[in-house]
Amino acid sequence: MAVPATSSSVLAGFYREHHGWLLGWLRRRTHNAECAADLTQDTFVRLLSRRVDPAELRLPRAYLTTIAHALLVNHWQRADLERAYLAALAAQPEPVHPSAEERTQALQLLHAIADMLQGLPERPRRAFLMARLSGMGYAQIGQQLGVSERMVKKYMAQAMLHCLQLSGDLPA
Amino acid sequence: MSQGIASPALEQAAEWFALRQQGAWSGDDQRRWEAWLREHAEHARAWQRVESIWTSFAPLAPHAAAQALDAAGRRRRRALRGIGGALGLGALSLLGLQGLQSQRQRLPLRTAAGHTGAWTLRDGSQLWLNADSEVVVDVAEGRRALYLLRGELLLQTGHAPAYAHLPLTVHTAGARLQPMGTRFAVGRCGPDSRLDVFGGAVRCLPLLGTALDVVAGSGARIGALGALQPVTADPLRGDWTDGRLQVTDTPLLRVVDELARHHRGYLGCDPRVAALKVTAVLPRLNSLQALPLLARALPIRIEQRWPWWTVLRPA
Repeated sequence: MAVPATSSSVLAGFYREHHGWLLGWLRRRTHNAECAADLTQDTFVRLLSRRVDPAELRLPRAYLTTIAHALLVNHWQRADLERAYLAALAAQPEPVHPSAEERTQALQLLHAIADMLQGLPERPRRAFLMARLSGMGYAQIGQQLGVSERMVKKYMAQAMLHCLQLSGDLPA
Repeated sequence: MSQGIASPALEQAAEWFALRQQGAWSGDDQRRWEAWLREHAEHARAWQRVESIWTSFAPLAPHAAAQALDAAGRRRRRALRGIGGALGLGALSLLGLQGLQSQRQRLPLRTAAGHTGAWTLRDGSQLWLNADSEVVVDVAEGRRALYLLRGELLLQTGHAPAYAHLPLTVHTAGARLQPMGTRFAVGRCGPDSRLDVFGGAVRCLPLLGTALDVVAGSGARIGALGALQPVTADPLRGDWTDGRLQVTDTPLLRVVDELARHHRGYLGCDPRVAALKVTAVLPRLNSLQALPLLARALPIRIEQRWPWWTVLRPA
């Protein structure tokens, strides 16, 4: 496939023209300068990885905000996931206070697992989590989901297969 | 996609996984599964991947992760519902999930170094925690489970009528344990666990492999992935509840091992005195008191070269 030969000077001009307002746009939404700068950078990287020639874009602002918005939603989802996990840890009758390192590792793992489970239909996903994290048996899961044990078994196989198919893309 | 593993192997691995998790794993299932594993190198590789996916959750606090991941799924569905109302996705019922969460009452119990703890659980079970241990108790409507996160627990199962029909499960690294009217100890030791049964029997359901019923007087070492190795129960592992270490004609080495578990720094025993027989009642959690008592009763001396390095030598 022919990669559009975007000259570096075209790219540099495009970056200069759009970097400022995009950073401002993201800063207003994140209220966090560092995070806005990261997301701005990610937006340009995403644009380049799509092999889009900036010179060809008819509505460059609309194009960039669409990418930035998707990244922002993803960022919020990740932040929500972290908050939910840490809040649940802290809300335990005897709160757990993991070290910064343990915390970072746990959060990375949590994101990886959330990504892995993404795209699974609701019930297989819940069945899998109930079995894994709550140690529930099939009968109990079936009751919660209002389905038969046979169905729970099917969900478990479906969820595991989903993860297996993705895991080939992960480093061992 | 899935590097080098054909999708039939992955599909079969997922089916075996779902069957195994169901719990009614028979000897025949085990044989068929083993035959399947041997049939093709790809099968073994697919199964290895099943294991690594299942164990990858281990470092997370299970309750917090369940809440966070549930919530993440809900948010995603809510976002979908905006688009999907017209497609009938709006009918998704979330009531079941919320019901589950409000019932959930998980209680973490923890002991600090040098202290043991004792609790009576809702189901009437008596739970002791050894020093520096942590367990999450999930005993409420419809659930009766303990999760050993760290250290060692001793459990005397109770029979409160409301829980009589519910099997109790103790989760530890590598296995689920289902006691059948019993008194038993479970300890974690690095990635492995150890079970010692002092009364009744405990069914040990390893992560991988066949279930093993462990009866009073025996025990099992449990590997991180559930490899089981039967052992003889060690009575010393079941009598720490009152903080005393009571031994009769026990080799010094065993006593030192036991004291070393709560000793700060290294505590060892010279091989020349390791076999000396000890009969004594010692403070189990306080080696600083226990060692001089031993030195008074036996032909040994305490060698302490540095504050964190102690060895018992011949006198």
